[in-house]
Amino acid sequence: MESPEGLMPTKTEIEKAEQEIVPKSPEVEIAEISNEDLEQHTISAESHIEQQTAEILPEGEKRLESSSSSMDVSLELLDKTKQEFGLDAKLQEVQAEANQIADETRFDIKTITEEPSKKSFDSENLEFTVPDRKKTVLGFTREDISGFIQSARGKENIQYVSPEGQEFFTKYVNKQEGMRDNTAGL
Amino acid sequence: MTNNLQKKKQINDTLAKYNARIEVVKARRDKIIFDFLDYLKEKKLEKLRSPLK
Repeated sequence: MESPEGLMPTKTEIEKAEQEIVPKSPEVEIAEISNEDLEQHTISAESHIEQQTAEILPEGEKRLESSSSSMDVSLELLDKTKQEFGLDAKLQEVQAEANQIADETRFDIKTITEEPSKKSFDSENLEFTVPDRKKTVLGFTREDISGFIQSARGKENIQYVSPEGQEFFTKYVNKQEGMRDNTAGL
Repeated sequence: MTNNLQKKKQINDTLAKYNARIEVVKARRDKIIFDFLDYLKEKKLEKLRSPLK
């Protein structure tokens, strides 16, 4: 919002910047999903994995039963042949592989959901929390190289690389009010 | 894109990879069962032939 011509601006530079950072565009509001929705999505994904993995052996046994019953073989021959063929061991191996895939996927999902929050829009506080919005300016690439301690202290170490390969290091400090302050550039 | 949307997309991608991998496992299971049924058929024929020998 602009003040009438000739008058002093009613907002400080910081307030103006905040206004620019928090656009209330409908696109952002529509695109946002809540933490609860994400949690529900995660639960559904994990439930799908659980179900798929648990069905590997029973589904196989069902197929085996329906096919072998139509072959009209005795239970004795069926059991003996299973042993000779090593059917149970082979199916157990397949189940173990399915379990491993499920474990890996669960771990990946956990890693995604527990990722430290670097969100561009915080739906609960209705504000942007990205410490840096310059990541694609002039072809610079940006990498967050802050460690756990920096994150815990509300600081971020960001490395920028220019299109020519020149590296720049910047430290950002989040003030308590949630405002961004670029304190140092080495 | 928001952080939660990014996470949702990443979860979907992970799930798609899981589905692809689990389909391979299912195909392996079905192949084992198919091979076993073939073997069982042979055994049944063997048994049927043996009294004739």
